Amino acid sequence: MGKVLLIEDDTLIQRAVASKLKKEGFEMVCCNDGKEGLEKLATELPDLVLTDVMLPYVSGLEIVNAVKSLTEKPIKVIVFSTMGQEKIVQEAFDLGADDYITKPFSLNELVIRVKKQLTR
Amino acid sequence: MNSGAFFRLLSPEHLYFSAALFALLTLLLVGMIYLFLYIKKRRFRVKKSITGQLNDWISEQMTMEEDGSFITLPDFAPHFKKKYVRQFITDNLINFKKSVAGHLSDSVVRLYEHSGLKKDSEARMKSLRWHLRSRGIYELYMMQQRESLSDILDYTNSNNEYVRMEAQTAIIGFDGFKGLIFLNDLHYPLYEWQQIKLLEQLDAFNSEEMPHLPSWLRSANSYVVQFALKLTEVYQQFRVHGEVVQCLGSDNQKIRNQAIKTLGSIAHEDTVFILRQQYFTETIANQLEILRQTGINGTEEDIEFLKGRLYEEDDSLKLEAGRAIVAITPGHIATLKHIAANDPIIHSIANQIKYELTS
Amino acid sequence: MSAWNIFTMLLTYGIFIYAVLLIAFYLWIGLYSIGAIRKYMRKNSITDYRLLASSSHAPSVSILAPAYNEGANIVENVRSLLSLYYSNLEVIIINDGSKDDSLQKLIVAYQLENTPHHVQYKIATKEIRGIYKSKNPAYKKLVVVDKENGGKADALNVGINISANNYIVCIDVDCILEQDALLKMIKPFLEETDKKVIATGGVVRIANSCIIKDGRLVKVNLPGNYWARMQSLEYIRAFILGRMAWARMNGLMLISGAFGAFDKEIAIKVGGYNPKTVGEDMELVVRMRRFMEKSKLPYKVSYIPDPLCWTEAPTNTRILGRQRNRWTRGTIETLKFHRIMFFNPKYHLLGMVSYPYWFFFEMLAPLIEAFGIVVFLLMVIFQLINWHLFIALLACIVSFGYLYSAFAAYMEVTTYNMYRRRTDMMKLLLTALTEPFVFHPFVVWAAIKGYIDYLRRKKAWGEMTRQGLGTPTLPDKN
Repeated sequence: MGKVLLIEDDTLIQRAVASKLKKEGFEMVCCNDGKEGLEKLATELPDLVLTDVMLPYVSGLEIVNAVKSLTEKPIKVIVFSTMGQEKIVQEAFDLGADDYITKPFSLNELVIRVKKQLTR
Repeated sequence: MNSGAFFRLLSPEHLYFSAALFALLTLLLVGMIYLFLYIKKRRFRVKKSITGQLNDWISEQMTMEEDGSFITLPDFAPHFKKKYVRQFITDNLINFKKSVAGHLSDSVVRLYEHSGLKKDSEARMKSLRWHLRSRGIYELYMMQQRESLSDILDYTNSNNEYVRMEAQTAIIGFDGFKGLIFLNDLHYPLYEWQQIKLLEQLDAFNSEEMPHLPSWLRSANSYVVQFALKLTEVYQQFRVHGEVVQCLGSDNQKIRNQAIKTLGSIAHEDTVFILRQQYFTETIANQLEILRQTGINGTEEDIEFLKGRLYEEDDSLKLEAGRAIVAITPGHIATLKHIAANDPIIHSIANQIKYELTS
Repeated sequence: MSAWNIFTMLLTYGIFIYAVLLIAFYLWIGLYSIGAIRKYMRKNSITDYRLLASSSHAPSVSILAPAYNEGANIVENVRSLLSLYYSNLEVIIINDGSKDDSLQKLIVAYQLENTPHHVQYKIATKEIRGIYKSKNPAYKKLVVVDKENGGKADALNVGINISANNYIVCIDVDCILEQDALLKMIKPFLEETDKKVIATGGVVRIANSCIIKDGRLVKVNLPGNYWARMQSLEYIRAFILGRMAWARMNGLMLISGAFGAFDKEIAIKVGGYNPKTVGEDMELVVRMRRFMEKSKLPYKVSYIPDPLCWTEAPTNTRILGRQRNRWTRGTIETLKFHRIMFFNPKYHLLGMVSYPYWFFFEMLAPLIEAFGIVVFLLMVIFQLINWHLFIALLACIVSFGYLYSAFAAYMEVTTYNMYRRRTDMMKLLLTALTEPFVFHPFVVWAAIKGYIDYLRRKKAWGEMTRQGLGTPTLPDKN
C-alpha cells in the first residue's frame, strides 16, 4: 500500500497509530524525534510522512520543509497538531504540507486521510 | 553583660553536642536520600512494565471491531494495589486520550471506569486537601464522567483558587458555552492563564449565543470583563459593539487593550473613528494596538490621521502607522517614500515596510 | 576593663552574633522554601503547558541571546532555540562583534540575508551593523543582529531595542533549555492579579559531563570534574533553597544572567542593562524593583523551581576564580549603586530585609571570614587561642554546613530530581565533605581578590577621569 514514516514522541500514541496503519496494510517506520525523522527520511524514502507539528529538537516545520525539498521523490506530508494551533498549521501549509489532523483524532479518520493522500 | 555566662553557654561541651546533633541529622538525611532513590528506582521498573502492558492492551483494542463491546481488562496485578501505580495508569490514560479520539478513546474510558480508577478520582475529589480535590476534578472530566458534574459545579465557588479553576475548566469541558454561567457571579480573579485555558476548551464546541455577554462586559469584576472581551473577539459578537466601546472608558489598561483588539474583530463603519478618538488619551501600548486595528479595518478616510502619526516621538508608533497606511492602500508606499525624502527615520521605516511586503 | 578587653569582647560577640544570624537565616531559608516548592509542584502537576504554546492569546516573547565567539556550537544552539515550544516567539541572536566566524556560520546554516529594519535606540548602545532574517519560512522566528563589540549588557540592550514583543527572555546562547522552558517561564506573567509580575527567574543546573547531542540534553550525569561537582551542590543549595524562599517572600534580588524573563516595557523604562557593571543581571533586577517601589505599584518577582536551563561550569581554578571575582565585583557595584535602599523603610522588604541580607551575608561574608582567619592566626601566634573551644566551634560550624548540604540534596531528590542514581548522590555528598577545607576557602580567596580588583579599578577609573580620559556616566540616581 505504501511506506509511512511516523514521527511522534509519545510512545503510546506512536504504538496506536503504527498498529492501526499496519493493520490497514501500510509499511511503518517510526521515530521519536525530529532529528531521527530527518535521518530516516533520507534513508527510507517513504511515500508519506506523518509528523507532529511540535517536536523536540527539530521543529515539525523543518520536517515539512525538508520533505518538500527532497527531489528524489515526491513525498506527502500530514501534520498532527493540537486544537487551536491554526497559526502553525498555516505555516505548515505555507511550507507545502498536504493535510493536517487535529488531536485528539480518530484513528479511522487518520486512515482515511492517509489513503486519500496516497491515492492521488 | 555577664561574659562568664556567655562563655559557659559557648563551652566546648555544648558545641560538641551541637556538632554531634548536626552530624546525626546529616546521616539521617543521607539515609533518607538513599532510601528515597532506591524506592524511586524500584517504582520506575514497575512503571515500565505497566507501560508495556498498556501498550499491548491498546494494540489489542485496535484489533477488535468498533462495535465489539467486549473489553478485556489488562491484568495489572500484583501492582494494582499500590496507589502510585493506579495514579500512573490514570495519568497515562488521560494523556493518551488527549491525542486519540473515537473507538479507542471510548475503550480507555471504559477501562478507567471498570478497573476502579474512577473510584480513586471520586475519592480525591472529596479530599480535604486542595491539590487532591483539583486533581480529582481534573481526572473525572478528562475521562468524561458527566455524573460528577453536579459535584463539580459546587466547586466552582470554592475559595481555593486551584480547585475553582479545575471546576471551571471541567464545567466548560462538559457543557461548553452553557457552562460560562459561572461568570455571572464570580467574585474571584480569573487569571489570564485560566482565560486562555477556557477559550481552548470552548474551541471544541459549536459557537452558541451567550445571552449574558452584555452583562459580563459590564461586570464589576475586571477579569470577567477581560474574558468577556476575549469571547467577543473570538466569536465575533457584533451585537455587543456598544458595550465594548464602553470598556474603552475603563481605568484598567489591560481592559482597554483587549477592548481595542475586540473592536477590531467586530468593527463596523464607525469603529475606526471611535478608536481614533481614543488614541490621544492612550498609553503607547494601546496606541500601537489602535494603529494596528486601523490598518486592518481602516479606509482612505483614515490615511490623514495615520500620516499624522508618522510624526510621533516613539518610532514604534511611526512604524505601525506606516504599516497601517500601506495595509489600507498598498499604493501609498509611494506617499511614504515621498515623506521619507525629508525624514531619515521614515526612510528607514519605509524600507523595512517595503521588505515586509515582499517577503 | 582595658581597651583590649573591650575590643576582644566586641569582636567575639560580633562574630558570634553574625554567625548565629547567618545560621538562623539559613535555617529559615531551608524551611521556608519547602512549602513554596511543594505548592508549586502540586499546582503544576496537572498543568498542560502545551496549551500556551499554540494559543493566539498567549503573549509574544523574544528570546535574547548575546553571542561572542561561539562559532563552535552556535548553529546547534540556535537550532535548539528555534525548536522550543512556543508559537508567538522571536529568537534574537546578538552577535557582539565576534572575531570568529559565528556570523558567517549562521548566515549559511539559516539562509540569512541582510534586511532593512528600523531600530530606535530607546536604550543607548553601540552601533548595529546589520540585521539578518531568513529567506526560509521554516526559520522565520530567527533574527540575527550584528553589532560592534560592547559586552553582554550592551548586546542585551540591543536585543531589547529590537524586540517587538511584550516579554524578553535573556539567556546565554550556550545554555541548553528544556523544551517547555518558555511555557513555564511565561506562565507566572499570566497568573498576575493586582501585583504585576516584572520578572521571573529559573533554575540553572550544571551541564558538565551531561550528554548533550545537537543542542539538546539527552542524559544527566554528575560532573566528573571536582570543581564542577562542587558547583553542582552549590547551585542546588542556592537555587532550590535560597531563591525559592526569597521569591516566596517577594524579596528576590537576583535572577540568573543565564536565564531570566522580564517585562520588556519596564526594562526599557528603567533604562535596560547597565553596561558599567559586571553584575548586570542582578543590577537590572534591583533597579526594576526599585522603580516599582518608587512608583508605588504593587509588583512581584517570581521564580520557577523547575530545572529549565543547563550551563557548563568552570572546571579549573583559574576560570572559576575569575568568575567568583567577577561575581563579587558585581555584587559590590550593584549594592553600591543602590545603597540608598539600605535599611530604608521607603523600600519596604527590599530595603529592610533583602538589601541588608545581601550586604551583610553575601557581600561582607568573605571579608568577615578573611578577617576571622587573620584574627585566628594572630591568636595562634600570640598563644591566646583556646584550642578546645576553637576545635569545638569548628566542628559545630562544619557539621552545620554538612547538614545544610545534606538537606539541599534531600530537597533535590524529593522535588525535581535530576541525579537519579544512588551512586551519583553519594558521590555528591562525599564531595561535600571537602567543601569546608577546599572549595569554600578557594571561593573566599577569589572573592577577596574581587574586592582588591574592585578597589584597584575604582582607583584606575578615578585616575582616568582626573586625566580627563572619560566622564563616567552615573546610572540614574533617583
